[in-house]
Amino acid sequence: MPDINKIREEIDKNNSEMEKKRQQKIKEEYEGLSEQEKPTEELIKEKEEKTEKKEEMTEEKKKHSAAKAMEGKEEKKDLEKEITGNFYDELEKIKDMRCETKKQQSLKTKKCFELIEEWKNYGCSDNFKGVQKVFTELEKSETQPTMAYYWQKKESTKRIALAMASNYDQWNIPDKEKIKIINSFVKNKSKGKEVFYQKDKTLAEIAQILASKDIPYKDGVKLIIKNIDNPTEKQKTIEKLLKIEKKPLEENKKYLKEIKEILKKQEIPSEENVKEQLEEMNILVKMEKIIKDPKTLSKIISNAFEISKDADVQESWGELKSVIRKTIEKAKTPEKEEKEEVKNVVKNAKDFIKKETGKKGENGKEKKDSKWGTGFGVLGQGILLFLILFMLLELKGVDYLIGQTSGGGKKKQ
Amino acid sequence: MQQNFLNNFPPEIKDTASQLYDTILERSLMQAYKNLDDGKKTMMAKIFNSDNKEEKNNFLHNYLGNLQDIMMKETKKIVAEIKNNRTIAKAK
Repeated sequence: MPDINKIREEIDKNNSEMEKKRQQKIKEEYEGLSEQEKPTEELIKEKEEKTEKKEEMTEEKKKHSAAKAMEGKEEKKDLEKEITGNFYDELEKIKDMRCETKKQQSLKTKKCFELIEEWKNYGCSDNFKGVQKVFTELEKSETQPTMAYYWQKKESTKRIALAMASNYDQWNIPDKEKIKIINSFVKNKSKGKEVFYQKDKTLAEIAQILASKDIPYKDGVKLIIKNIDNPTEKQKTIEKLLKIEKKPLEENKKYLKEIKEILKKQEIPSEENVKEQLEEMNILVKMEKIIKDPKTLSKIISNAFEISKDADVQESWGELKSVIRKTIEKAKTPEKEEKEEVKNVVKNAKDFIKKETGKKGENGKEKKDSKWGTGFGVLGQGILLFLILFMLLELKGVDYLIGQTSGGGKKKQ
Repeated sequence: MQQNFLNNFPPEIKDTASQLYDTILERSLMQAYKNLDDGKKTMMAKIFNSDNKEEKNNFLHNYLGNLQDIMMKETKKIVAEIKNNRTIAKAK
């Protein structure tokens, strides 16, 4: 049992240091006493014998607690093994779930996300192989991914990656392999909608966690940094790493504790959490659903035509347009004060973005552009529809987002 | 329908929404530009004055990755401003 030997060695070392200190203290005390107060040789001997006995007992006690700690470790390992076994069992059940209807598919996706979250803190016991298998199952089951799915997947990927880094010392494989697994996991699972593409940010956080754990830069953290594509993000991360290395150990420990707390506190990123946690993204999720649903979109369009022709609304529409015009003018005021060359750069960039995200392919189909362009197109459409719905709400009080009228009465759309 | 959904709306609504979107995009780009260091600002000016589409796309991807977040915030901001201005106008 090499571990017990190590512990014993440490105990011996500590004992000899303590003995030295004790002798020194006795010497100091003795020298400080007057002649009468000084104990006789017998008394000293007696005292030393008592102390020796006491120390023998302490050593026994220490050995006992070390053995107990080892037992505890073994027990913990057994427990983790059992838990991991249960998770694999759960995964098998998910694999056998039917996935024919949309409802079945959505239930399977939900179960996958739940299992990933539960497995996260025990992933080390099988070097995160099981969790990755759940991801594979998740990707297989989701044939019509929505924005909500991409968002949830991004969140889960990030949380697993952070768990991998913050429990780095508990894996059972060499460091090089750990880094390889973390890199490939983040790289492969971050694929999806550009709006939610966070590979670089996740890798940057991982690098900081590893640096706080004193993992060497060369052959370690460096290999994570290498996979950050965005040069600005890379530079920022390296600067942060330099600061981390200078920080005292206690501060780094505090940082790691905080990360672990965050991982504990946050629950599964369910659709409900998407709504609560990320209001902006939620708007996009809803907008995407509407744009993808021709029925709802047609209803909104015909309602917009009705509203625009409604004589009662004309006055209100004129007033709203005037307010919007004034708001736009006001919004552009600080920009007017900018230098001409700055205004030109912004204008050129704006024209390019609009051209890239709005154009069509030769057959009238959407042209496949850069990943950035595609993601930005989705965002642009979402914002445009949101603005239209906002105007309809202001004009007629019809809220398509929650299916209610702001004027009190319900009007399901 | 999905790709041209804006064209199906009444022209007045479509135009107003487009103007608002333009303002949001411009304000966001201005903010993102200001966040860049001097070297990147010069690089951006050079790239967006050229015709190199690939370089433009790369620049947006590499250095303006947070533009989408900024746009979401600007959208919320402008909608709040309109609401506020409307309340003030009505009060008058």
